[in-house]
Amino acid sequence: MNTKFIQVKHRAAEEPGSCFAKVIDRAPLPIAEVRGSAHLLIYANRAFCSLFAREPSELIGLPFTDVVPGGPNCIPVLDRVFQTGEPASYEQELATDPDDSPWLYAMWPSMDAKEHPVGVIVQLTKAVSVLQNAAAINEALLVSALHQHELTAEAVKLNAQLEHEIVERKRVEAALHAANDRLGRHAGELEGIVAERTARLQDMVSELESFSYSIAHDMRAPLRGMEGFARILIADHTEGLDAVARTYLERIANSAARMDLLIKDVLAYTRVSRSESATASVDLDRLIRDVVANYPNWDPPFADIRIEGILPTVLGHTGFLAQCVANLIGNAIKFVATGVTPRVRIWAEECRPVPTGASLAGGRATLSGASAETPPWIRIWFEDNGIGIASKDRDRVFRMFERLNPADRFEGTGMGLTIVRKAIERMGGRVGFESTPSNGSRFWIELQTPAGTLPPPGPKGSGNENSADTPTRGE
Amino acid sequence: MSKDTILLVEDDPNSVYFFRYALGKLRIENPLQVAKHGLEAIEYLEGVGEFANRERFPVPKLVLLDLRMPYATGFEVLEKIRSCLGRGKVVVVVFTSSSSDSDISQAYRLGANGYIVKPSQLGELLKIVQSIRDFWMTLNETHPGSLSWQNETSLESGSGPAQAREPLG
Repeated sequence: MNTKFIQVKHRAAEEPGSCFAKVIDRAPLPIAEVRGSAHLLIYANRAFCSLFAREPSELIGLPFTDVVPGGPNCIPVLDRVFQTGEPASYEQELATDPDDSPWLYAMWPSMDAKEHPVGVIVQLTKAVSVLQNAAAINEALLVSALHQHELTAEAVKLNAQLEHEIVERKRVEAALHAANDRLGRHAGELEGIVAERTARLQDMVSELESFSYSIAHDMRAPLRGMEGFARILIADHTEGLDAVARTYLERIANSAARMDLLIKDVLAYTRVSRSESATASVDLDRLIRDVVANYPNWDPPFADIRIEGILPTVLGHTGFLAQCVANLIGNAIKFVATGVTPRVRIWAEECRPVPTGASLAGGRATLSGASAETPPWIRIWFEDNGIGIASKDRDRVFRMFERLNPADRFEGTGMGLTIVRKAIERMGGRVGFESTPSNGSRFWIELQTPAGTLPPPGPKGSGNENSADTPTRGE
Repeated sequence: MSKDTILLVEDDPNSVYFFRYALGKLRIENPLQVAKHGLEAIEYLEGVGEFANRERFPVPKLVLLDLRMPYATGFEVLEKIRSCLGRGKVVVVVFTSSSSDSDISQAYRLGANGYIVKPSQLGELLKIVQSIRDFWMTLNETHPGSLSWQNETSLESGSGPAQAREPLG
């Protein structure tokens, strides 16, 4: 057996140039051949030599067990391969160094020409990387599997929760829907009730208004009686009366006249509150000049009224506007310090549309489209050189029956500006003022301007037209 | 001309008194007749009952008509006058303390020739009565020819409509 070994060794050595020998020699894996009962190395390729950092001459002839780590343990496997002819592998754990990789020895028999086993070829692999990687991969797999499991569990939990939430949400939605329906029904009912009550209230208010209107109206007839008879006594029966009696009669007549003024103002207020307030184009310039012309005691030298430029056409109600202008100019002239000639200056200017009581959004809308679509608003100023209004009285100015000044100095009913405010409100406009005490006041009214050209109507005008139509009515 | 009659339709005795007083003060000599309510005014114009005597109760040139009165309102009187006498024969001027727009337009719709709001003071009344005399009794010309009251029935028979359609004199 030993001789055979040596022979083979020689044969292999004798044929180094053979194709087979070259392939083995250059293989990147360490390969060696072992023969004989002493398990001597008879061949080692380059990779094998460089693995153990020895020259082939140093290795050949050495017992296998002396060269490779764990060689003795491997011998039984080696022998079995030789005896059975079946390839086998052996793994060498290196307990001393857990970091060092274990060795994997793949072994298969080497045969002679007659297919008899003559030795064993060993191929060494540092199983290292494979195993460690496998372990790492395994671990990673395990971890990820665990992870996945956890995730799945979590997902299942989440799903369940979600499902629950969906059910809950659907329930809430249904409840909301039902509540909405109920609310809608309630709102409808409420609206109905509100509309009904509003209608009833409106009826009551208009009934009350017409009641107070006729009362106020009927009160004027007896007043005319008091005033008239007192005047007749004064005018025609002076001989029978002394000075004191005449004074009393004067007072009766004056009181009656004052009361009549009050009733007239209440009636004017009721009128601007109740009448149809449909607005139309009003030639403000003509209206104001007409009003001024109608009051002889506003003419110079009693007062100096200046209308600057030509006032524009506005959207308003002729009757209401005439009333407002008369009251504003009347006030401007009335409330001056003794000995001062009243001076009133009236002018108009365009202003930004300020919707009364409108929402902010509405205001923005009108502001943005002011120049293009909505016609401009007009502010008419009435400036006087009067006694002015103290800032503490600001809030009282437009209130009914409020009088800021004593009656013995300035006659009045405390209704004038209340009527103005009501009339302006009903025309959809605004009214306000600026004032410094003893330095005059500047009252203003703001009105819309008509969008297009409208026919100039008027209560008197339509009355005349109607009267001209009467003949056809008689037929 | 100064003998033309004025018919004052007025239920308030004070107002009647003041009107008479004003005429006296202003030395206006036109006779003044008074109807105390709407129905009396219609009877007067129709010339029935105690008003049948046209010598005593002549057809007026001017009717001054209050609006709120018992039995028949001023509007009813006005309507009756226009349907029975036609336009232009009798001048009707509403003389009331109401200055409401609806009353004014209603009066013109029914054919009033004028509308004057009663003043609250005697002094003003004197001015107004003077103006009424000057314009309606002196300057204003009415439809020529005699007056004949045509009741609705006879109007429908066809004798009246032409008269009713006459334009304002």
